[in-house]
Amino acid sequence: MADPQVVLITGASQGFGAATARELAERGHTVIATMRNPDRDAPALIEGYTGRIYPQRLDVTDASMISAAVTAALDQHGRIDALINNAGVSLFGAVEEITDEELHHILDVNVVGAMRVIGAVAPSMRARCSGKIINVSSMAGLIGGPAVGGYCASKFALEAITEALRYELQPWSIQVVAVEPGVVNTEMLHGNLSAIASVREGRSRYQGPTEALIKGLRAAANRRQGPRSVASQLADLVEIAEPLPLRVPIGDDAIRISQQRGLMTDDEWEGFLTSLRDEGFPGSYFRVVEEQGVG
Amino acid sequence: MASPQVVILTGSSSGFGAAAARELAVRGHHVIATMRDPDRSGAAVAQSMGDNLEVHRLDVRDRASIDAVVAMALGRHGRIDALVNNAGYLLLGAIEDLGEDELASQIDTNLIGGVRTAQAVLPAMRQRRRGKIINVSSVAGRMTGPAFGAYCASKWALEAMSETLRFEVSPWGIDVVIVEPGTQHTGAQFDNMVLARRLREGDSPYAGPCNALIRGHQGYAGQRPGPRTVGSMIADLVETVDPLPLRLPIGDEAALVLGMRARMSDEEFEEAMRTMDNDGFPGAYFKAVRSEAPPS
Repeated sequence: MADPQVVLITGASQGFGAATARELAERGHTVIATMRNPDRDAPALIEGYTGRIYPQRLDVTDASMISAAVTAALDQHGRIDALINNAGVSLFGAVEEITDEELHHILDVNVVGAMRVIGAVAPSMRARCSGKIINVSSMAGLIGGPAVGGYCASKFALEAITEALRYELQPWSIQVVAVEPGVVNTEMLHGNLSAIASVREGRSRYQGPTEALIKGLRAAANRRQGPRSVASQLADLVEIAEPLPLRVPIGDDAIRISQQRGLMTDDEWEGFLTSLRDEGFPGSYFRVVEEQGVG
Repeated sequence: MASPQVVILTGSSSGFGAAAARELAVRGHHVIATMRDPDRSGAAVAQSMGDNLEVHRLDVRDRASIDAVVAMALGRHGRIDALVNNAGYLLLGAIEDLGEDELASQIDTNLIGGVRTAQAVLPAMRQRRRGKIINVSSVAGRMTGPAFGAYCASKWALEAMSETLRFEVSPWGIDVVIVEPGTQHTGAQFDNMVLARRLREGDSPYAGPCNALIRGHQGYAGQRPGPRTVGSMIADLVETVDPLPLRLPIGDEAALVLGMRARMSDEEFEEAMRTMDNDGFPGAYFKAVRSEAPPS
């Protein structure tokens, strides 16, 4: 099987990041699991994986902390074979009402955060002419929809960066790939901090549909699986010796949407999306718009 | 999470079948893992899975063995929520070299085996107005290449049968889905691979390219991840409450190859295949063809 790899994962305290850290450790790889608050989150993660998962404090919005963490990892392990840019936040709310601050924050974490870590890791990969950078995008990196404009903007941007970076790092044999999971039952969809202020404070002109969307998406997440398959797919991508494709959708919903979107014109796609009324994204939103209108 | 499901899998002695069976058992489902020879492989598959996983003998070529397991499962659990048709093998050889019995056997296991098993579980599923049939196809279910003709024919046919079955049984709320993994490091690419007799016996005008392809393909498969991701994704499909799509290409290779296939004309795809210079499928074959003297 694959030689043991040294893998740095951001956002490893929970969700995809934690599951992937454990899957890689189970397969015999060395994992530098970075998170903002290791004192709180690391003990649960590394239980049973001591010596294979190394927790590390890292906030993707803090360049000096990233630089220190990467230097420490290179000192300790000699190299980083793969970087998994997983840290990310979500944001729900109509584009009209997203504040500058909210938009800056999600872009700072989801886009600039990934670029900062890439910037810190790439020199050592170029020096070795070897490495993999796996960016955890989302189905939201392929399609837009109501009340998720900020999140989609961040993931579309991450896809663009992935594509550009792939050309740029190819001369050093460094591979860059975006993965696009669909709706997965993780902590991200169950926190209560991800709505924009106007929605949180109940004063949004899009209140009803946005709340319905959040509720519908959480209900959909509850019907769906946890992160085990995403974690296993990410571990595969770390291990695969052959050239990787640019994009890998993960899960039945993401695979279906990437196929359908590829086959439809913009007009057909819009007609299809707006015809949906089932619980989840975006059916819950459009159903409430139809029933109640907007405020 | 998902309530415990009763799942029958065929071909569970190794590879995708074993990985899916164990993953489902870990997630708390009732798994009926079937195989031709439980004495040889059953213990390893069932190890530390407790009551969640039972191993039974089933040969998809033998309708009586299928009926017996289905009757047992219905008697013991009262229902079958999902069937995973996974049993299959890879027959390799140029079409001209295929013995009629070899081709018939490939189709009997990979295609008709899945049909027989589906037929055995459908009456109970129709009666309950629910159920899922998950057919394990392959990237080879939508593309083909030299020396893979028999295998691809069986998988293309399985895809056609699945698409038809989906129309037929959806009125009873039964879902049919095709999964299409790429090459993974499983026994299907090694010990379980069957070579056409003429190729095996050195009596093939295609021997050079075919042997180069086998070496290259096994070299490639040996570097690929094992079946865990496919196993986990099959478990996801068993658990998913929402309607499933017809086809699910799984993994990097499926995304790459089937993405190309969907976007290219036949001519473009053929040209892309012929000019590949990878050491596995199909580059190893075409490189050997180019390096050999023209066939006599």
